[in-house]
Amino acid sequence: MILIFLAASLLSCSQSLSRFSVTYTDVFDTVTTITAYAKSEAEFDKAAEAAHEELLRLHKLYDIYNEYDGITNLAALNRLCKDGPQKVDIDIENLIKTGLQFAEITNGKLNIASGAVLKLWKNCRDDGYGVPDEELLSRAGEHIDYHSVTVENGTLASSDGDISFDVGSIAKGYATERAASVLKEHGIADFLINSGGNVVTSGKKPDGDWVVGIQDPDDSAGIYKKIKVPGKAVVTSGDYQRYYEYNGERYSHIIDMDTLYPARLYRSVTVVCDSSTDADALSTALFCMSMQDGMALLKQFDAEALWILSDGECEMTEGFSSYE
Amino acid sequence: MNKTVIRDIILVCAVVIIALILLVVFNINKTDGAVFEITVNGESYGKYSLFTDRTINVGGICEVCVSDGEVYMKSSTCKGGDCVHSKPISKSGQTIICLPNGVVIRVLGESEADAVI
Repeated sequence: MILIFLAASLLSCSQSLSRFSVTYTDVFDTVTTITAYAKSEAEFDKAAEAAHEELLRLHKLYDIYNEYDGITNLAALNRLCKDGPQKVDIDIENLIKTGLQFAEITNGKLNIASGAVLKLWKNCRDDGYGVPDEELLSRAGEHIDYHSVTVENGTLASSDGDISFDVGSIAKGYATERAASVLKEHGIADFLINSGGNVVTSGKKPDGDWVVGIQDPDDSAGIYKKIKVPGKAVVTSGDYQRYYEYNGERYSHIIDMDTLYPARLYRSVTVVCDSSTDADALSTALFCMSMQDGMALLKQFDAEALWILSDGECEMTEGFSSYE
Repeated sequence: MNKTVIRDIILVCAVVIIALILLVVFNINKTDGAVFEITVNGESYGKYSLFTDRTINVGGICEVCVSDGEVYMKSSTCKGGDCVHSKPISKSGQTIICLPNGVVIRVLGESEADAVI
């Protein structure tokens, strides 16, 4: 009897999963945390490190500020594109293709060819001072036409030699999705990846669904609303994530490509859907468009959203409440 | 009262006292937000109590200050200084991050959400 009890105990121990977590600060200029349930720390470490490797690989590929030996990344392509068509990695082709599709669907509100404009704003944000010169901004705005870009059969080209790619609005979403696939390949079924506001969940916790808190825009330590997200992607775009203040005004990192100035319609937009890439792209696009246009866009992706308005109130799609 | 009964009473009292001690110890360990951890580039730099006021010099790259049950970034060698402008934290799961230096301060314990975005 005792032996049976011991055997059952050992069996139950061997099948139980423990919670592990690891944080990385070296990918996509943000903080990435992987939380998962695994049989052992060794199993978790192996899977998390493989996912981290994939994130690092994609980070280098999509980096527009630094070039690396042995790969032609976007920083290199931004330099080389004026010389004619360039051979590109399959993951660059895939992301640019997806980005161009979103540019079409959103009428350029999501524009991965807007690097010339984003660079001017980033310079000011890094300095924490000033706004881009209007003349410079207007000139940069002449080189963000995504229609000039083609990518096919591993070749990227643009009829505008001054075009500059910046995939910051979708790269993290895409990479997080890939990292999630790596974790699954390593036998991890229940996990949450949070890469700087891009969340992908899979499976459940022993005590229920994964819970994601949507940050209170006015309180960096506070939660505005909690949602339960089983096996979904959740992404928030907010004016509090990357910004600077100058002359009493807040300048966020999300630029409306119609005005070439930071979008100011909402404090944040959170999107929930199946694909992390879609959620990332949609949250940025929705941040720059009217709620009515946003609602219409969401229907094409079977996605739900929550908008936090300037006065602190919120609006949400009908289906969003099912996650509360 | 015979000796056996007295021994039984002592035994019961001892068990109750030990149980109470264990209960207190486990509850202290479970108290959310009692301890925070500092990591540098993913490696643990140390775990500290939120209830002991002190300033921790993290390898000469930043200073982490604990005061009145809260922890905050007092100074940092990073350019932007976003971490220094972050509000003090005390609740489980809350973090202060210095991305350029790879420093993360996280209050340990069960938090109300698995991620905050």
